[in-house]
Amino acid sequence: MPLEKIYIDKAISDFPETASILKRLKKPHQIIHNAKEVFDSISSEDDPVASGKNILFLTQNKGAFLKKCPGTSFYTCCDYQILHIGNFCSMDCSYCILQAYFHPPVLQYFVNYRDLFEEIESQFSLKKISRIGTGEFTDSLIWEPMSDLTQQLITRFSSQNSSVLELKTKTSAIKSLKHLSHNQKTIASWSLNSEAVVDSEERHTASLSARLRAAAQCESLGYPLAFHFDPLIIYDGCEKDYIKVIEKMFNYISPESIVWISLGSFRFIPSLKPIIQKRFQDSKIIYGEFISGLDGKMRYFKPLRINLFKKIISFIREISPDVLVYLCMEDDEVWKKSLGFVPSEKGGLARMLDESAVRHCNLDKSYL
Amino acid sequence: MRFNPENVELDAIHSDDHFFRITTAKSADDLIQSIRDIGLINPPVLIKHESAYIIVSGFRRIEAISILGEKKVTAQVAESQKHSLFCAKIAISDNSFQRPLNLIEQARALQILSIFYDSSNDLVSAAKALSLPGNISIIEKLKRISKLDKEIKEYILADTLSLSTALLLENSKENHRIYIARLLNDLKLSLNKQREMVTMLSEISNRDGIDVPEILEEKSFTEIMSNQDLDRNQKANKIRMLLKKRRFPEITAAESAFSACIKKLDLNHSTKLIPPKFFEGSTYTLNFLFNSFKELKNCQTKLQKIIQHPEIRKILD
Repeated sequence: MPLEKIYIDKAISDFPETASILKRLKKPHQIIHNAKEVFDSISSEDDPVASGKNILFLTQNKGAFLKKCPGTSFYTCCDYQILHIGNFCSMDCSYCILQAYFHPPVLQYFVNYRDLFEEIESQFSLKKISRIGTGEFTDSLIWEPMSDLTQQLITRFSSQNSSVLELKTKTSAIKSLKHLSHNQKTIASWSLNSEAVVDSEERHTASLSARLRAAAQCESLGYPLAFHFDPLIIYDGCEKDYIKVIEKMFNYISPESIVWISLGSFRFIPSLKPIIQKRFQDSKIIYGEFISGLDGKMRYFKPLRINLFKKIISFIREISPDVLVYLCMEDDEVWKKSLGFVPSEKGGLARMLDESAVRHCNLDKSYL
Repeated sequence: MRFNPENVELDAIHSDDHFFRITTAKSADDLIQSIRDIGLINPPVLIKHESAYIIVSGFRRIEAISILGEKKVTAQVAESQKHSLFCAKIAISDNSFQRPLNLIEQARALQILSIFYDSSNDLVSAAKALSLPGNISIIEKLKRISKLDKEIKEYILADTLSLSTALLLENSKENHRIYIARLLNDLKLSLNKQREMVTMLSEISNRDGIDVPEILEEKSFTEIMSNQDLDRNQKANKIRMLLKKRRFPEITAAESAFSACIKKLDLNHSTKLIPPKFFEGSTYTLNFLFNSFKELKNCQTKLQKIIQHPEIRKILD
C-alpha cells in the first residue's frame, strides 16, 4: 500500500487499533476533526481516484458493519452479507465500480472493531446459515500489512458453526492466514480473469499464477476455496483465454476444495464510463456491445453473455461436473440457457450456496 | 489607469494582435456605413506597447476606418502592460455591456479572464461582474470550447454543432475532431443524433484502432454521402444505421432478425408486437387497435393466428 499520508478521525485517535496500525505503517499522519477536510483535499485533485489510493483515512463505521448485498429484484442475487470493514482499494482495476461509487473515493478503514464484533455476535446468535464477505467495498486482503483484523475474524468464525467468512482478493497476501485455526469457517476466494485482462486492466494486482499459487497454499492449509470470474470481459479470443484460466485453476486446485465458482459479466453504472475513458485511455473494455439493463447498469447484450457463460460452464463441467457454479446478477432466462436450470428449481440461489457452505465448511445443517 | 485621447496612425496599430478580441463578427460592413454617415461615436481603446499600439477594444471600428481610407483614428490610449487584467476587463465589458455575447464570445472572454485568476471563486466573481456566466461548471465548459479548432467554433456559431456535442468531441483524438464536426455540419442533425454519431465514431475508432478520417473515407460512407438521389435526412439515417451496425453488430443483427420474424407474422397496421427493450427483459407487448366490437372479434382471430404461427415460437423461445 504506497501511502503518502494517513488522516485520523479525532474520534478514534486514541483507539488501541489506531495505535497498532500507525505503529505498523510508520507514515506521516494527521488528526482531523472533520472528514470533509480529507474529502475536499482529494476532490480537488486532477485524478481524485488515484489520489484516494495514496491516502488512508482511519475512522469509524458509524453505520452497520453487516449489510445486505446490494442486489436488485430484476436479477438473481446471491444474498450474501457484506462485512463493511473499509472502503476502496489500493489496486487499480479499470473496471472497478468503486471508482464511481464513492464521492470521492478514498481508502477508509474502520477501526471500531468492538462494534464490528458485536454485530457479528448478534448474527451468530441467530443460528441461521449466513455467508459473510469483506470483499465488496474493498479487497479483503489489501489491509494485511497494517491490520490483524483478518486473523481476529478467522479465529472468531472458527468457533461457531452457522456462518462462513469469505475473504475475496486479487492479492496473494495470505501470510496471516497461515498457522491459524480456521476450522474451515473461512473461505479464501480469488477474483480471476484471463491473463490478457489481468495484464491490461488490473494494475498492481497479483498475477494470475501468484493468485493461484496462493489459493493452492490455502488449500494445503485446509481452507475451503472459492473463485469469482467477475467481470468476464468479452473480446476477440476471450473464450479460449478463459478456458486456459480454468485449466490452470484446476491444475493448481482440486475441485473438491471449491465451495463455489461465480461467473459475472462486466457491468457498470453509466458514470463509470467517462472515468475509465479518462484514467485508462488504452482500455477497450467499454467498447463492447452494452445495453442498459433493467437495473440501469450497462451490461453486455444478453445473447453475448449467454454464449460466454455456456462455454465457460461447459468447460468447468468437463473437469468438475459437481462443483457449484452460479451466475452473479442474471435473470432466469440466462440461468436456463447457460446452466440448464433456474435457481428456484433448487430452492433458490441463496439456498444452493448455503447448502454448499454447509457441505464444505461443516456448518450445522439444522440451521439451513 | 489613465486614458489619453490620441490621434493614432493606423500603420502604428498592431491589427494582427487579437489577444483582446472578443467579437466573432468577421465583417465590418455594418460599421462602415454608420461611420461614413455619422462618424466614430465611441473611440477604440488602445495600449501603447513600445513604439506601436495594441487594440484592446474596437477591432471592427479600426478595420472600418481603414477600409474608409482614413490614415488616423482617434482612440483612447492607456499606458499599461501588454496583456493586463485591466485591459482584459475593458475588452470584455466593451462587448458584454453593449449586446448579448454568443457562446464563442463568452468562451473567449472567459478564457482571457481565466489567465488572470487562479482561484475558481475569484474567476466566478469577475465573470459575474462582467455580465458573463457565473456558474463554474458552465465557465469550465466554455473554457474548453475556447480551445477547440476555429472551424468547429464556426459550426457552433452556425448552430450545426451543439455545445454538448462539441464537448463530446474531446473524447476523440485531436486530429479526428474536425472530420467528425464536418460530417455533423453536413448532415445537420438533432442534438441526440449528433451525440450518438460522435460517440459511435469515436468508439469504433478506439475499439478497432482505426482513425476516424479513415472510417469516413471507406467506400460505404462515401457512397452514401455522394449519392445525389438522397436528401440530407436520408443520408443521415443511412450513415447512422451504418455506424450502428458497425458499433453494435450483434444487437443490430438481433433487431433485423426480429423484424424479419414480425414480417413473417404478417401483422397489419392495427397489431403491434413490441419486444423487451434491448431484448434484455422477458416481457413482450402485443397491441391491438380496434374501434368496434366487430374489430375486437377480428383481433381474437388475429391473436389465434399469431399463437399458432411458428415464428412466434421462434421469437419467444
